[in-house]
Amino acid sequence: MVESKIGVIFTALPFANQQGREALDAVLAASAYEAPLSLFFLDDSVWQLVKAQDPLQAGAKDYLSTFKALALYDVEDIFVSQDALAARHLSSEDLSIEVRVLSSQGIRDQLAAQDCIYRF
Amino acid sequence: MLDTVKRDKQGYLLNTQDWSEALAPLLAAEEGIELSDAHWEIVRFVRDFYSEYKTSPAVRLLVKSVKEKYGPEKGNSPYLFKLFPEGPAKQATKIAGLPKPAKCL
Repeated sequence: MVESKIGVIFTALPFANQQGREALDAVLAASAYEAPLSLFFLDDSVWQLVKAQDPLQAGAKDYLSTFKALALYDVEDIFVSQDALAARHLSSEDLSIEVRVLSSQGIRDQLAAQDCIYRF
Repeated sequence: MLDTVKRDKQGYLLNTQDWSEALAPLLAAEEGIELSDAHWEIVRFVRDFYSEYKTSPAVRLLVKSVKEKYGPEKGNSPYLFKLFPEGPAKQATKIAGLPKPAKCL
């Protein structure tokens, strides 16, 4: 069993590459070990959470719907950078799932609390 | 009928939209399972799950979400393993024409 706190950082745009989907797959797989997981959405990755997108139009697999399953997997610590949202004129109301919006200091504090960090 | 749909090496359908209810008994037969109403309930359940979340539930989540919908007498491992002896998530998703659930890393 994994006891350490695992942080997963999302950085990429949703459909430019597979990084977002790979990160989400890793999170769902890791959740099976009941390790405490925290997700961080920084920079362009906030676009992955914007609701009412149709990935099929981008010729992509619809992994965005799978974010809604995080709650079922008891993954609840989902942190989004306030700066990243503001820079893109987005707010938490534009997002498909419930998140905690944090200042850059808040993000740093939460990251510092993790034992190990994966960046996608 | 089965040889007209594209499948992966383990027998999972490559395209979920190729599935029809008529295929289910054939896929089940390959697994040595004869579909009862109880099987169908779970097969339909995993298809509904997939259409909402676009992912196949792994076994732990399958047990948990079946429990939420149908109560503890169905949402438990022994019941689901009795229906699908080689793994409820694995076999129910295969019969339902869905991708194999993601396993551990």
